[in-house]
Amino acid sequence: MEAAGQLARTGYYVTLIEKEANTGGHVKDWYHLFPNSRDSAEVIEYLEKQIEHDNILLITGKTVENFEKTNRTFIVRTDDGKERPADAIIVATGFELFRSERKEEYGYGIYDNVITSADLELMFRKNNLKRVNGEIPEKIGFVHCVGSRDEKVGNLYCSKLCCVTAVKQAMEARKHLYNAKIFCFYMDMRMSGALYEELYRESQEKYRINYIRGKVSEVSENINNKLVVKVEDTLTGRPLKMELDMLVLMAGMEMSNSGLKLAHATGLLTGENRFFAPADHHFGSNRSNIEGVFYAGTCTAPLNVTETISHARAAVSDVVDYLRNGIK
Amino acid sequence: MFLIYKLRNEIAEKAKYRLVNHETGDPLNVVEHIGCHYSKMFPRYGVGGAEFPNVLGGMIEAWGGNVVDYPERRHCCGFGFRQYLVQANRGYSLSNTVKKFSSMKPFKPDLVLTNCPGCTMFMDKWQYTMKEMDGTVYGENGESIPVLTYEELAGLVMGYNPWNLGLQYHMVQSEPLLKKLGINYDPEDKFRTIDGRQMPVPENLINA
Repeated sequence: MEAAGQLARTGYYVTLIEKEANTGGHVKDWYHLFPNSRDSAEVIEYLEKQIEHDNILLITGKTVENFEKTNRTFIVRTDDGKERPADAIIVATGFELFRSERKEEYGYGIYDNVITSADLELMFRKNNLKRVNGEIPEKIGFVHCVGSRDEKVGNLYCSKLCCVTAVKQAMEARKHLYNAKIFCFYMDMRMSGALYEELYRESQEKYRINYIRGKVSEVSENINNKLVVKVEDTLTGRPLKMELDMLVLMAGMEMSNSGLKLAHATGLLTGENRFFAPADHHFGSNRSNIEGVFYAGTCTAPLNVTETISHARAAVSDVVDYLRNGIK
Repeated sequence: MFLIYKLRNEIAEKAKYRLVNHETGDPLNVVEHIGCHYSKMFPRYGVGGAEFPNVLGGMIEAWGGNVVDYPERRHCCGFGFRQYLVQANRGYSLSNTVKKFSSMKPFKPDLVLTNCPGCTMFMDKWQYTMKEMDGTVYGENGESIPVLTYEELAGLVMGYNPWNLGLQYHMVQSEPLLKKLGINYDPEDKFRTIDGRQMPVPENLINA
């Protein structure tokens, strides 16, 4: 959306094809964004404003099946059988959340009060942070790295935003539940963005969040309907077993299925992490292996909102360069 | 084991008894304990994978029982190879069995089903040991929980005579289970050979 707006204002005609019924992707499902608790609706509002332009044709509910290049013109085919011409393409197919059911040992989809970070965002939005039976949770755990840095599920990479999401969500949970005990089970705290480390400190000093360095090995449910979590506390070197009312799984980011299909259909290259492989890690993170096809956002790697918007702007600059100056 | 799993529905069709309490009609609560060789070493080849192996659970469900999901479901039976075989480690072995049985006790299991001879022996005989050491029993009504292999259970539901299946040679006797299932048995035949000779009766059997 950011790239479409920028291109339109530069004077190009843009066709924006969205597979969902509405634009906004995952962000529209989130509640507050780190690091400053901004309501995600503000970001959506900003992006929607970006695409209010006469040069932009928005098509929703359609998926791009493939595209074909003849000389310097592309024909883009959507799933309704329509063909649309284009001089350049920006792929912005985004990411999908790791399906937490795949980590069976954490019991998502098996035990009612094991939820994902995405489910928690919805609970915050509905102001309904409760157990399935309606009880107010007194002890909540957050499991980091669910589907990230995990050879067993085939994801060696770090999704890099789950850590700060857990920090933000734990703080948010504290705002809802003043007396609850809140634990984060982490491998490493990767506070890689601006103000993240400060947020992590604040969460401990002001929000009484307890961080335990260790990977959860197993979740089960006892006769009282409480979750029993086994985890190793690697700082004290002891195994821990604790009862929790609610467990939140910090689902990682994966290449989207529609992105993968597009890669197979068009010959766009993907990397070891299955995301689209940029032409150059340092100088060409927006360029693909096909001239005239560019990438924007999380279809290339896990990125936060700020980085995604910057990446989209950078894609615009590459597209303009390509259209005006051709291939160099 | 896979053969019985594969034939579980055919066995259910031919079964004389279902895993339900014949008086109340409630399904029996069955703990399934999968030997670590089956699911933990070769998770890809096992039915249901490593975390929720379903090879025994599938049989239990097909035959009408309720599979108990309790916190220490995946915990070791207590054998743990060297933990038991090295005599100095037996306390550790036993403490693991205590942990496992304490965790399943609140769910009131009527039966433990196993696939590994080591687990069967341990979960059976350690119940005797735990009872002798501190008087704790893990079943209801002061009884211990019968531990059967899947072959024994298949035979039982198909109507085989429990004494021909050899259930009397377990430490924890199966009579409470047989009563719940509505299986008729002759106590007089329990320790008789097929040609009718009386065998010596073991001492200290539990649930007898």
